Amino acid sequence: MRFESIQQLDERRAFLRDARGRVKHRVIVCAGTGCVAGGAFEICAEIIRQAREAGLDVEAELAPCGGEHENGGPDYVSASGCHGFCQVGPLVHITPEDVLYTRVKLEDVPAIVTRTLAGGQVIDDLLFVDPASGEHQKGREDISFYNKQHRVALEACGVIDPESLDDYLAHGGYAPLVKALTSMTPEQVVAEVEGSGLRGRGGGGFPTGRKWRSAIKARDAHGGTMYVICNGDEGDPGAFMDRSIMEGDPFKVVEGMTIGAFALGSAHGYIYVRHEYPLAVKRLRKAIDAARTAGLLGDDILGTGFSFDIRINRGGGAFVCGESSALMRSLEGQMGEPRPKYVHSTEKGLYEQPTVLNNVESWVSIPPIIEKGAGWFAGMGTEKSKGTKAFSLVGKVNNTGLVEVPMGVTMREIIFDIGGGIIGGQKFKAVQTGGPSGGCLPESLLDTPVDFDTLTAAGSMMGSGGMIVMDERNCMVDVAKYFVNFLIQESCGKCVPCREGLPQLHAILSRICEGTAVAEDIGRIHALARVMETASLCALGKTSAYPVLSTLKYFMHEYEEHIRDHRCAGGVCKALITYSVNDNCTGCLLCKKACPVEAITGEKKKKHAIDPGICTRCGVCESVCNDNAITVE
Amino acid sequence: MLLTIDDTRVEAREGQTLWEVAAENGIEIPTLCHHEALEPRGACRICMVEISNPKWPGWSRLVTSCVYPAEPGLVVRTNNDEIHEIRRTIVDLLMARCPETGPVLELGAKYGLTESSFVKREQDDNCILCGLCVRTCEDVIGACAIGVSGRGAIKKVGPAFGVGSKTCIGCGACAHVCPTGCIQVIDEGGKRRIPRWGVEFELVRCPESGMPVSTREHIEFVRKRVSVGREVLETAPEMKRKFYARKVASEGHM
Repeated sequence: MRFESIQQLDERRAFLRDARGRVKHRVIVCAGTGCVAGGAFEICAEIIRQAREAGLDVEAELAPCGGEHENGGPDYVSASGCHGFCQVGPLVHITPEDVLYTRVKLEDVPAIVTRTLAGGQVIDDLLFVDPASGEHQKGREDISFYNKQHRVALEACGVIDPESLDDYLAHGGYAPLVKALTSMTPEQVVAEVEGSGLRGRGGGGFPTGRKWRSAIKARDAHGGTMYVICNGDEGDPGAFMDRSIMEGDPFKVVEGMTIGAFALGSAHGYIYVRHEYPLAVKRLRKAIDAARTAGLLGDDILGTGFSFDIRINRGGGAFVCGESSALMRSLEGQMGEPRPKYVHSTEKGLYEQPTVLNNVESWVSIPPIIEKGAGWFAGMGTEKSKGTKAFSLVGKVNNTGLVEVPMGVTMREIIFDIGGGIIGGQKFKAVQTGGPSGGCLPESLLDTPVDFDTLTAAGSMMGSGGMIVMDERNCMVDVAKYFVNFLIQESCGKCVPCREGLPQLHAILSRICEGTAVAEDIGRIHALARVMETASLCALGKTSAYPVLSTLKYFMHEYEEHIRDHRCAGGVCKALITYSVNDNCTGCLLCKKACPVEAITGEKKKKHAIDPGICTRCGVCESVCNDNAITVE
Repeated sequence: MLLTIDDTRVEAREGQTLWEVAAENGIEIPTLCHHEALEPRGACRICMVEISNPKWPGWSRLVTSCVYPAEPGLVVRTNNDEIHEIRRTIVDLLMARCPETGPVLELGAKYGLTESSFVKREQDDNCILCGLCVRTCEDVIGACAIGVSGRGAIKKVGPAFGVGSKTCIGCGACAHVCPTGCIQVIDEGGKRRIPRWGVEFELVRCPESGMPVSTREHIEFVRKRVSVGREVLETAPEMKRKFYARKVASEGHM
């Protein structure tokens, strides 16, 4: 249905809220990419089918939950976006009881239907087991991964059905747009965003309000068509915040952009989505179509005379297209290469017109800022970094997943309280933030508050929010080499320092990892990095040496050990390590059978031996050994 | 507007880049990706200069002079230790890629480099990926016969899928703008070959002198765009004078 007026929208919302109030159990099956891979869609369909078969009153959509239902109301079962706790998916969350089932399989569906939905019992076996205490924890309120978070951008992710406009409306969606359209001027919207202190969530941290204002100023001075763009070309290794938002709350992306377009006087919006995010594209497309049909996008939105529409553009598979000027060239159908930004894109952006480009997380921060006010947002976070920030917490940490915390929380809290510490009780070594433009921070900086400026001062950066945790079995030279290699693949090749400098940086790092480097190579890295930083054309090149520089700064001893002692403490660099059998060996023959090059000799129940001349350091023996009998040095 | 380049007060027009202003005033800033027929691109990064402004004491910044717009009052320094180091490193990097490319070696000599201090890169040829040929073909000629494939260090210039392009007219403009001479245009035996792009053309001969003029495709391409007859276009440059002299003699005008 098309809402011709705000009154019609309000009436529909009232009806949907009433319907929501009648729901007995809200069953939400996480259908973020990770859980979908684990069979979430099948689990969701199966819950609906079996519950109906069992005679339960089940609805798969919100609207039919309205009206009179017997037995205290229907159960509303649907999929949702990412719940964040990817480590233990697929997840099934049941409210109002707040029961969270983890690692759910199709075989668990009968029990969920009969025991929980029909019987009102909690299935202990499906609850999350806290790795520290061994305790079974019932729901989000009990699990430290959840209860230490503060969700703003991710607030509705995993709570609503991302493919249902009804669910979004019942959740309060489009109330902020209505507020902006009816009781605010475009100038007031800009002022509100400015006052909130929101800084760009894509990594740079440029104040969003100021960006909007300079675009308006440029348009007023030189005329032209204003464009708004949502940058969904997330590509940092280990980062999936934006994907989760686009998959889990696509209407809010659309609404945020619509409010922005109203403030900026724009009629044309683009969402540039990474090619490798098909589910995000599908859900965004559904959201745009649904919003258009409902009169929330397109001509004369809600009968107010304001018109705005959005098109989706799929990225071409290049990391550099996350850089704003390259993204705009790519949108125009040209090669995705950055251009010098001496003239800002707010002045001459897409098609040389004034353009505002914001990241996904920035756009979804707009509706709550308009609804709750600048003061509410500015009340969270630190003095210069307001609000909250979503991170994807990955690597050697117990609870990997998507987390959101107020700015200013320390990395220790994120990694140890929310993340549950390091896997297998190993020792923490470093945390990498900011993706390939960021850096690795050591344990001594774990109490650093996470905000734009302190991370930059520490030699890393906020970036878009990837957080990769590393333990003693990681080699920091190897990590630096990994990121440099990533950037070699992703450099566009337009400017010489980045295109030619990265392979040379890689060559030096390879020498270090192979034990053929000399002490002067450290100086060579610094000299080359300095030129790459000052002379490269875009941020990708300028920051491309940061992973190397930050590891040099905090883990210089590892570089020195590689060069001087030919030793890799992490046991990673193949040329510098040897595998040997220690006295834990029980003579089980497992490693001997597994070794692909027959480097292991030994008899049953006698200690085995590895011939270092034949051994290729593949690590298979270590992974099959049950007795911790393989030493890597 | 007035600005200062290397202690000299110079006049600049709105829309000019720092590189253009410097060049106009006889101040040379090295570059490997600039051509007056094309929009500047800021790719080689050799033309970096330092800018400062008396309005903001203590503030200075390194910028690419070929794309930075001239601003009134700007103070530009075209060389200092840091700029020298940047240029030297960039040339050093290019020498690792193209150890036999003349202009790179000449520039290297200026910075005291006889060979690269970096690891020699594996490569097929002496292309420095400045992109001038591609942009000339597309933006100036309009033939779009060559483009760029791949990205980063393995980026390559050439026709799509490495197969000689049907849209190539064999005009040779790409070779004309190439700063390294790595694009060869070979006219012999009544044919023109550009081996790098995998194309070969018949050359049209001047009816008067028998001299090869250009390719049929090139002549037709030009004929569609200018109101000059084929008889002129197919005439060798030396013969054109005679042609026009006869025309003026018989018709009283060109």
